[in-house]
Amino acid sequence: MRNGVQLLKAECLKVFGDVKIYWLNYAFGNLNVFFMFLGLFYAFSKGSQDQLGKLTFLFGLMYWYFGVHAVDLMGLLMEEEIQQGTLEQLLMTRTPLSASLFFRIVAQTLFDLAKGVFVFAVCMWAFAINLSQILSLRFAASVAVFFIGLLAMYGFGYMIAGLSLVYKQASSIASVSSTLILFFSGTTIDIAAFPGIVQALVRLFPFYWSNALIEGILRLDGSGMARSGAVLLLELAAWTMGGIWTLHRCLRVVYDCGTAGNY
Amino acid sequence: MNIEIRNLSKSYKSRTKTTQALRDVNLTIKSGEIVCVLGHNGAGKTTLVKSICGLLRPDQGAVYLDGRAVHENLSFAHGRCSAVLEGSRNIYYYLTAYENLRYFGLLNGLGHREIDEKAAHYLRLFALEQFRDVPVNAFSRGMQQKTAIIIALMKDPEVLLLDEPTLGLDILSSDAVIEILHQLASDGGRSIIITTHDVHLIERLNARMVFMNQGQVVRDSRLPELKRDGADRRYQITLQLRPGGPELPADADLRERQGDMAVFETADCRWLEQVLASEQLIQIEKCSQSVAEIYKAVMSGHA
Ligand SMILES: Nc1ncnc2c1ncn2[C@@H]1O[C@H](COP(=O)(O)OP(=O)(O)OP(=O)(O)O)[C@@H](O)[C@H]1O
Ligand SMILES: [Mg+2]
Repeated sequence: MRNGVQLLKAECLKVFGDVKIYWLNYAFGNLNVFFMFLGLFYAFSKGSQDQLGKLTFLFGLMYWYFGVHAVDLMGLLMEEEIQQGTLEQLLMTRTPLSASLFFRIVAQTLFDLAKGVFVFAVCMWAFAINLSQILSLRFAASVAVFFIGLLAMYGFGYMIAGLSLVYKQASSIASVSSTLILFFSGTTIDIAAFPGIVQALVRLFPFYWSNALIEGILRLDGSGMARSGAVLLLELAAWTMGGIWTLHRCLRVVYDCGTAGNY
Repeated sequence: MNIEIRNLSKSYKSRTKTTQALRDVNLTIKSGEIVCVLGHNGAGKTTLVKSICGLLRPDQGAVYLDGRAVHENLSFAHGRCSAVLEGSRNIYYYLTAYENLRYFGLLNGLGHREIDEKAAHYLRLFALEQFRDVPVNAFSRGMQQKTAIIIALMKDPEVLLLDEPTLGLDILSSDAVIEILHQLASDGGRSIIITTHDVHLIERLNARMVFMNQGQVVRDSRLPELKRDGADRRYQITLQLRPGGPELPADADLRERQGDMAVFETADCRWLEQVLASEQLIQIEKCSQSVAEIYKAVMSGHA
């Protein structure tokens, strides 16, 4: 526990060091996300009177943003490590790579969350979502599910991180996940509209289940909630284990080829 | 910590070619020992260092730290070794010196107090105090190197691996490194392995020297012994040159030449016998060999 706090502190230090240097990038990156959110929200729920529908959609968007970020970032972080030549030093510390990577993503997420709360608030206001929706147990439960879903995405992120170590350009694979999550998670388009094979594929990813569960919770619709929850937890375990396993296999390749220090 | 290197071989394979970087290397390094690994560019020094700390998996053979095979116990090895690898790429360039020390300190399990104390101590020692809060991308090469060395030292490793540590360091800083290394080796049983091309460093460390050539260890001896061995065979000659007399030996290392008088060094004994019989010889002295000369002699197979 103490160890975890220490690692989180270390990674926060690093994220803030990053922000200090690249603040302009960050500022405009955030502005970009902000407008995208408003735009998407406007396009997909304009005129809708369905308060819960809007809220579910907002969760979906948030999940899309943070989920994509987790996956993307893992790949980018690894590429940056190799490029800078610091990966070897990171490997040589007393902290396993999977742990430092995990806390680095958590630190980044915490930082992003500060923005997320702001964007969430602005969207709520702009689209007249009733504040009373927020101050409920349902909302709290949805937030919890949101984080579990996010955690499962980290497993996917580990996989991308591992592949980035070996194939160097895997972060471009990660950007595919961006579109995938946006359109196939059920956030923007009901997945029933897709061919069977796509539907099956989508179900392999945790975002589908966490979105379904959040919608169930918000609408107090008990049917299927147990199933969504169970599958979500199962996928959380599977993706995390699979991700860490992949990362370790890829590290093994790096140790064999001696490529930790060159890009 | 004792280091045992047994039949270590490593090759780098790419689609077009295979480079054999280490060939059947065997070495034993006792705790408290300092070893300088020398050799031409591409001799396999960095490859050896990376194999010891577990950043490279050998094709054959193994490295044992206190009897435990590095590649079966990676976290054990990573926890006990520090490595400053060649180049200035050991630190996060957009973090400040202190942030770098803190970051790696936390990842190495040091407490906040410990980090602050050690950081202050080493930053002072390496004259970096006033640059503590400057991003390292604004550092000179030597300053970056010193920051990397501090990170390695703060971990308080049992095995310290330094790949060309004095590259870019000024003479004072390089002396500080040497002093720390002697101190670490003597008072903590730490094993230290250094690769270097820096003759000043080698001279001052006065340690065991392992010479590598094309992935093999070609000589393993202590510097004082090498100096003595070499000096026994090497002479400084002052000679008057005459037409018809002996020419200078093939290995003559000319120091001075005035008119028909030449001062030079040689290790060519057959040539000496010849000249001793002639009347040209003015003076003959045993020389003390420089590190560079020892290096050249060993690498060319003359010593
Ligand atoms: N990542 C790599 N991929 C392919 N070949 C490599 C790699 N690293 C080193 N080599 C090759 O292995 C051999 C040994 O390299 P190494 O870096 O160990 O030499 P070195 O003794 O450290 O040289 P230097 O004094 O220049 O630092 C060289 O022929 C080099 O070209
Ligand atoms: Mg080298």
